Amino acid sequence: MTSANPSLGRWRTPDAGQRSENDIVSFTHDGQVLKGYRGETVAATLLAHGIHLVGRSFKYHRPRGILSAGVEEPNALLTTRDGARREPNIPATVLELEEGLVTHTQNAWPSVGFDVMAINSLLSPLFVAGFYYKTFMGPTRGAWMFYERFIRRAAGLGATSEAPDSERYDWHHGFADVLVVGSGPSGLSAALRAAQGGADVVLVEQDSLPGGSLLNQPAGKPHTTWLADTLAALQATGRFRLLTRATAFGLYDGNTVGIVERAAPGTADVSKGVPRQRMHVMRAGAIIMACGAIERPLVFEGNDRPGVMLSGAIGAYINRYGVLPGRNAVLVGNNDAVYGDAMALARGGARVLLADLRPQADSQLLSQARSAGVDVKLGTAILGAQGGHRVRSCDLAPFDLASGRVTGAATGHDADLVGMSGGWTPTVHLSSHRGIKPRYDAARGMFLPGGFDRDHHGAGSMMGSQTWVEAVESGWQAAEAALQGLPGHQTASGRSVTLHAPPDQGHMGFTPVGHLQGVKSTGKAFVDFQHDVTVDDVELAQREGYQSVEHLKRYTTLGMGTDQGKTSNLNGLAIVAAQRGLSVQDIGTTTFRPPYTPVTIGTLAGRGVREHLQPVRRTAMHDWHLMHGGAKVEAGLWIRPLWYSSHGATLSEAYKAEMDIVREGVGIADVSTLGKIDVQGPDAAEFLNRVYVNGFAKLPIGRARYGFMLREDGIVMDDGTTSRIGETEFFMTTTTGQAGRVMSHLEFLLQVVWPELRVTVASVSDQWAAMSVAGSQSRQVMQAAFPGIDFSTEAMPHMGVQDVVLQGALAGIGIRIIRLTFSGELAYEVYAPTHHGLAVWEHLLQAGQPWQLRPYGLEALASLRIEKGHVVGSEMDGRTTLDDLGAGKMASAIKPFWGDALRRSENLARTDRPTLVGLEPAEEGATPANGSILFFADDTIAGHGRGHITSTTYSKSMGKAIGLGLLQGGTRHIGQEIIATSPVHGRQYRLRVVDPCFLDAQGERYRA
Amino acid sequence: MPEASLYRSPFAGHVTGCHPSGASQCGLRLRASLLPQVAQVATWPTGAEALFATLERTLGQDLPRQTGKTVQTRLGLLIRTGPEESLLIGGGELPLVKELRASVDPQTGSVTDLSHARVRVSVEGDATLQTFSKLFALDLRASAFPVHEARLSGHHHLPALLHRQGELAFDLYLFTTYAHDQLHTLIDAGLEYGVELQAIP
Repeated sequence: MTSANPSLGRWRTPDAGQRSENDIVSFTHDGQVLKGYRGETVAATLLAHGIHLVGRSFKYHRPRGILSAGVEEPNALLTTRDGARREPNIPATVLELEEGLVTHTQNAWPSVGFDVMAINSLLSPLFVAGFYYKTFMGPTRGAWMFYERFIRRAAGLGATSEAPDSERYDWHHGFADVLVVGSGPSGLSAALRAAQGGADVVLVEQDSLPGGSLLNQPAGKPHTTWLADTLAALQATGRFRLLTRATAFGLYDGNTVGIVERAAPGTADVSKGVPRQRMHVMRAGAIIMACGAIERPLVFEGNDRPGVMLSGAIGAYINRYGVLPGRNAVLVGNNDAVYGDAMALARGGARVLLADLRPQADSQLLSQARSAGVDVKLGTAILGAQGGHRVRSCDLAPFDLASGRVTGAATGHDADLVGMSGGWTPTVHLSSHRGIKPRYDAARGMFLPGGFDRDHHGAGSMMGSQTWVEAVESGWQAAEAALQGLPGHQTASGRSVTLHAPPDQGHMGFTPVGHLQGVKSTGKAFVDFQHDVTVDDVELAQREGYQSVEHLKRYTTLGMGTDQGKTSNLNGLAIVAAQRGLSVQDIGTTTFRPPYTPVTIGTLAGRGVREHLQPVRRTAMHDWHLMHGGAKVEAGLWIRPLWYSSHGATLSEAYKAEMDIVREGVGIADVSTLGKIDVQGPDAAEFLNRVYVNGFAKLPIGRARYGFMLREDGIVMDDGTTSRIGETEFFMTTTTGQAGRVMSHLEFLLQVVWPELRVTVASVSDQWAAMSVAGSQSRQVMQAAFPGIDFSTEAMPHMGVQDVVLQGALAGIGIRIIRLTFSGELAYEVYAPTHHGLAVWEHLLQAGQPWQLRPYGLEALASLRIEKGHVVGSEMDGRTTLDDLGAGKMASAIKPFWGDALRRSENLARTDRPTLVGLEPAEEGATPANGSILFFADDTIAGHGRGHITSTTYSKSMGKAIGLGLLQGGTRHIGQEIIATSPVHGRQYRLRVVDPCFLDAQGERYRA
Repeated sequence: MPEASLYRSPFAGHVTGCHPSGASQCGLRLRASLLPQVAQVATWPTGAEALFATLERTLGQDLPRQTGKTVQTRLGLLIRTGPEESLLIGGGELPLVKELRASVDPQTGSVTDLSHARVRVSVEGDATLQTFSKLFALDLRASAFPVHEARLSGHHHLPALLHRQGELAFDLYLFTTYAHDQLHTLIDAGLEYGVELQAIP
């Protein structure tokens, strides 16, 4: 009975079970170094070392052990690893052993063996369902916020690290003809049939190995051979891909399944780019769900004691891992499969008493069990289990299955292990994710899928199959159905394939047993282990009116938590049904939502974190800016220079100096980020005439025009200039922030609204680098840089456009020059093909040296435009109209344009709408702050006020701080003092309303 | 053509060599390049037939009628990127835009110069499909994406045009201003398989 190597634990069976690995791995559990075999779960190794106490319960801090051998585990939740990599609430039953792994028990202090908060257990009569709702509601409305932190400290599960996750995660997009979820007998059968039918098959298995329930059977039997043969046959098809350690956690639109794949122990490596977990977004032609079934616990007093386990889990630990969970076992069940678990225990050397709730059992099975040394008692129920950190005894009593009543006196039995099996609950989560409610099959005592979407199929015990033969057959049929829906694939009528099935030993038929009647107990019988929900809680909720299953869930927390009630929901529903005298079908289920098992946030994010969070867009001059002290700032996805350190030690110093460069000399700015759109076609002029509020139909070739475009609802979408390059060709620029949106808008209009227009649009934002040379000396700089071009006003007037192929040092480069201004100074925008952008930029800087041409950044660019009262995104914020921005006069009265109808709607035409004004201090120290709320002088300072400040800067030209804002009545209030409040800054100050154009209102500078 | 010194590579800052350094295997090999000439030829819904008749006359051959198909022409590789739109990737020999504009009059369609708007990253190696599966929501199986066909998809929130050159070889056509970052993403995605950046312009 004892392992040959005691350091691997003294609770190992003489044989190795199905274990194939002999590598020994060490890990640390609560500071204790333990050894186990590679491939084992932590739960298996803990049991091998005789450790059953692995946690404390959520609310009462009761000692808890290992209930299951799979993802359904509600109790044995551990915190793994340390520091930034700490991860709580990982079921020991799925956590694979890994060299150097560190695990901790959780929700216990100072230790899981002696937990101070176990006092909660003594106070448990108080902590019934609804206790928190009833108790912590007062005395004030905010009282809960005070209590909450203490309650959360006392209750709960593990704590995650708050440090940035240093691990790596990834995403994959996958495609398959047929996706099979679950690699038990039915899933393997379905996969084989589909692959042999010519389909590309992906098989997803949450375990580390394929096989499902076959893995939990004794080694060396025919089913082992069947499993190996089937996997080999699948590989031979060449159309098969197996994903292990991969959980299909959600089913979504378009036959899309979300799958999380966990790296094999020891393989994740950040430095080599190997992720810890991968998300697969799998799109399949057909999906076969062979998700299996989860064993159902029995509900009796003390059913949560460490050492009380699901019967099938006991079989799994013995048969798969060669671990013996106990030596004096009592197994209680309502099905044949328990006999197999009992015989496994007996083979492992345990003394076994099997209490069969049914009055009769298959005679051959009885004979086999008794021959194996199992003491079988028919018609016997378990009433309770006793123990502290480990079960030590249990009470059995005669039981009448027909009435559900105990019919005789209980007898006590010593036991260090109690196995229980109340039948199985099909895993209908995935099929339910499509909104199809499961249906209750009263005869079989289980919820089954209520149906499937098109191209979705079910197989195996998920569909109620009770034997391997049934499961294999159902998988085969599901694959046949799937193939029929896939074009070009062969069903069985077109190809002969032999159907094999493993010999049948795992009979999963069971007789449903409700909560035992006629049993008086003072102890706790748990329905939901993880959330400490007892039978009494469920019954109390019913008495208090929480009869809907959804209300029951929220009032008692039944079915919540990391396990989402995988072992508890059905028992809870059965208790409610019995109490209310209804069928389980009438009670119904709560809604199944993804994820099936917890998914880390890291997996959902994938590689889209840190520098990969969002794309970075670089202009052709990006590196130049960095090399010349450009301070980077994000502008949408672009990285732009905010200011240059050569112009000042701080932003404040530098941008003012850069404003001076432009106002008093000449500066150059990188404006490549402007959106640029090529508009061509015989109807291009007409199209633009409809898009812009002002006229473009008669724009001469070689001239540009500034314009606004509106949304359909009459709100301003964007502004920009468009140049006419030829009779049928235009070059549109948009603001940086709206470039993509404008492009989509134009495409929408052409495809949907005016498909008759012969126009094409193409984004050329990437084709052109752009730079603005601005300042009173810009003409001289341009003339020096491009001596072959005449920059006189006659040849190149304001809003003039020229395309030129350069000679000399830049020979062969074709550039576009537009004379237009953003700063209010004489200015030229130079567009150069992107790869030549840097060359043209440097050429301009060199040519401009006699005039001390220097670059200016985004902050100065923005400040210069505020001085001129030009609007940008801060003012065109998706709420403002043309009139709000003081541009109503630009709208044509003689031609229709997009958005014209609704801009005249009652609300948008109101005269009390906030409109654009300039703002300046009316008192010492009244520096306008962005977002400040504006009030008239006699207003009560409360609420949303009369408007707000949209843009602010310090104007060197004006010698004071200035701002733009939107104010009710707008420029009608010029000269008035108003009040600005900034709740964020805790300031209130007085401003004066002025014209939004602070500088050169007549435009003499840029027309020079 | 301007002198080579007047070109600035959008990939500047990337370093050729293996990632991660010292990797024993290299499942992905990348070569980034500028494109001598690229032009988009497009028309409006009612102009598709006329445009393609014109193009077929100009190029002297039948052109694919289906989006995603490609064909090599005397002016370069023609990729049908949409029902009314094709992309021509030309070599440096013939002036692509000029030639096209000479034959496609404005009443028939439009020709847009995108020579500086697109760059190419050629990808090959055993890990190409695994790497691409991280980036593109695209069925890369040969039955769905045959060799010599093209697909417009996207990665890292950005568009990318894929041209399949072989079972494990693709040309990616990327937007120039995003290309630096997209190459960074590509290298990162392939890191676990070993990546060699063989060339950048």
